[in-house]
Amino acid sequence: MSALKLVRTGAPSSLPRDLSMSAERSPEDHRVFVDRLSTHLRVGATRRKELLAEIEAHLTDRTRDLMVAGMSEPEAAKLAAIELGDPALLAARLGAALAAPRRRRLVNIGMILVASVGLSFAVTGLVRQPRESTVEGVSVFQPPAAAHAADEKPVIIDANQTWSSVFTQAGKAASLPVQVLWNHLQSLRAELGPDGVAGVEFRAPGMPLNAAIAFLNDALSLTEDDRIDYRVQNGTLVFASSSYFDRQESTLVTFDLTTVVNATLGEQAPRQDSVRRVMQSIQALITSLVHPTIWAERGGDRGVVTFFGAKLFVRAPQRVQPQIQWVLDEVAARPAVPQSRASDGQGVAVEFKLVPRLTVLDSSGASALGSAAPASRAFELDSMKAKDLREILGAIFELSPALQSCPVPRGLVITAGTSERLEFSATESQVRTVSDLVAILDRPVPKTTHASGDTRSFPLSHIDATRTAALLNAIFGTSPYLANCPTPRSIAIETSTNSVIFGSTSDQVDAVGKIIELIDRPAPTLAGAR
Amino acid sequence: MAMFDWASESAELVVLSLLGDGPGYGYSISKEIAARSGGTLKLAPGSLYPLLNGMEAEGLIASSWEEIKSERAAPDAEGRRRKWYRLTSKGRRRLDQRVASHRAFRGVIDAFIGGRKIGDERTPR
Repeated sequence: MSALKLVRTGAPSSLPRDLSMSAERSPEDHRVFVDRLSTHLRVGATRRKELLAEIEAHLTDRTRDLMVAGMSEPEAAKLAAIELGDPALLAARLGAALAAPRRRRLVNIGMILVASVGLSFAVTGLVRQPRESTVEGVSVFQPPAAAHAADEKPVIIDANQTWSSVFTQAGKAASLPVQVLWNHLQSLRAELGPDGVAGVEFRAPGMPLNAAIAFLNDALSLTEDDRIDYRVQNGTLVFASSSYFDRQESTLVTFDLTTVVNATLGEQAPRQDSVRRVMQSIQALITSLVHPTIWAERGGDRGVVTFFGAKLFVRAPQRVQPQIQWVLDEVAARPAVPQSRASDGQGVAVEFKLVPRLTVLDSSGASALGSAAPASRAFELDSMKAKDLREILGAIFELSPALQSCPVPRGLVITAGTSERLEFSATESQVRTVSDLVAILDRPVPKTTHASGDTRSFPLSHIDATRTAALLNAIFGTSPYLANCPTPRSIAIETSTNSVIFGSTSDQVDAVGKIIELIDRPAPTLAGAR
Repeated sequence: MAMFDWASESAELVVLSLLGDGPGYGYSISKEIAARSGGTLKLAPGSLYPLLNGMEAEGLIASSWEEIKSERAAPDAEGRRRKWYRLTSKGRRRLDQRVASHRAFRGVIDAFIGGRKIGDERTPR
C-alpha cells in the first residue's frame, strides 16, 4: 500500500517567485518528452531541430501558466507533457502533416466542441477513429458488438477525497452511474490493498478526468497493459484496465497492398515468393514499430498481423489502428524512395529568420494574476434554469476580457439533482466574479408592479457597447428577475463614447450597472504574452 | 451531452481566421481559440502543431523565430526560441474561400432552422 499525494489543492501559500528563471530550465518531464518525440520523428535534421524547439517552447509556456495558477513546477511540467499526448503519435502526426500536406485534411484532428457541458478539456489520448486511408482497397470490418464508447464525457474531480471515492465522484460529476471493474484492475488493487482505499489522497481540483487518470497511472507506475482507463458504455462510466478495453475494442482491418507490392518490386505480376518477402517486411515493420508488446508473435495477446497474397489482415485494438494506418500510408507514399532521401527534409521550403525582439517575463505580472489559483463553486439556482445560466455565462466569457481566458481548466457543468445546479470551476478570481453575477441574475421575479424609473449611461472601457447591449438583451430574455419589468425599458448605444444607455426601474438599472462593473474589466496579463 | 469531432477543415478555418488578425505562436493560438469560444472549443496541442506545420508546408502560413531571454540571463546567453506564424497571401485567399463557403453553408442551414427554438414542437404541415 502506498500513500500518494498528487496534486496541490486550493490556493498556494505563495506564487512562484521566479517564474522566468524557472521556466528557462527544462524540467525532466520535458526532456523525457522531447527525447521520445525526437526518437519517433522521421524528418531531416533541420526540421527536427525546429519541431523540437517549437514543442519545447509550448511545454515551457504551458508550464509557466500552470505555475502561475498555483501548481508546483514538477506538477506543471508533468501535466504540460501529458496534455501533448503520446510523443510517438505526435511524431507520426507531424511527419504525416509535413510529408503530405494535402492528406492532412483527412486526419481527424480531434477538435472538440463540448457545447452542452461547456467544459473544455485537453484531448491527450489517441484519436480513436482511423483516418481515411490513402492506401487503395482498404476495408474496415467492425463487429456490431464492439462496445467502445466514442462519446466520453468530460468530468472533473473536484474535491478532497480518498481514492475510494474518486471513481464515484467522477461519475457524479458526469451525472452517470459508475461501474468499476475491479477484476480488470488487478494491479491497482495490488497497489492499494484489498479495500482499494488505503492511504491514497487524490486531490485534483478542476483537472479533467483524462489528465487526472494519466497522473495516477504515472504515479502508480502502472504498465501500459495495467493502466487505468475509462469509457462511457450504455450510459455508464466504466473504469477498467486499458488492456481490458483493448480486448473489447478489437477491430479487424484488411489492407489491399497490391499497388505497394508492385511498385516496390517494379513488376506488374511479381512472383509469389517475392510478394511474400515484401509482405513479411511490412508485417515486421508493424509488429516492431507499433505497440510491440501487443502482438501474438511477440508474446502479446491483443494483436495479430497476417497476410494472404498482397492482402494484409490486422486484428488489433482500435486505438493502435491509426498508427498502423500511418505506417502503411508512409510505405505507400514512397515505396521506391530510399529512407535516407525520404527523410532528408529538403522538400519543404522553410523561412527561418530571427525576429529582433526580446520578450521578458514581467515578474510583477505574477501578482496581477495573484488570485489565479484553481477554485470551484456549485450554485443551487432558485429562479434561473441552469442551462439558461450556462448559456449567459458562456456569452459573458466571450465578451469580458477578464473572463475570456483561464490559465486553469475551466468547467461549467450542470449536475443532476432535485434542484437546478450548476458547478463552475476556474481561477479563484473568476469564480468570485461569476458568484457575484449569479447573485444578480438568479433573483426571483420582483413582486412590485410599480417602481420608479431611471435612465443611466454606462461608458465602457474594455468591452464593446454593441456586444454588451446584445448580451443584456439576452439576459433580459432569460433571467426572471430582469425579464419582468413594470415600466417601459429602453437600451441604446452611443458609439462615439462606447456607452450603453439603459432605462428601466431603478432596481434594474442598478442591477445592470453591477453586471457591467463585473464584466467591463481588463484581462490580467503577463508582459510578453500575446 | 453533445460532443462533436470537428473536421480538420473547421480547425483550419479557425486557425486561418486567428492568424488573419495577426501573427501568433502555437500556444497563443490554442489559448486564443479557447478564449474566443468562451472555453467551449479547444484544439489539443497534439493536433494543433501537426495542423500548423501542415499548413506551413502547404504555404498557407509562414513562420519566423523569436528569441526569448529572461531579463536575468547573461547578455551572451542563448535564449529559448519561439516560432511565430503569419498568414501568407495564399493563406489569405484560402481564408476568404473558406469564409465564403462557410457563410453560404450556414445560410442554407439557417433557412431550415431559422426561428426554431430547442424543444420547439410544431404541428406537422
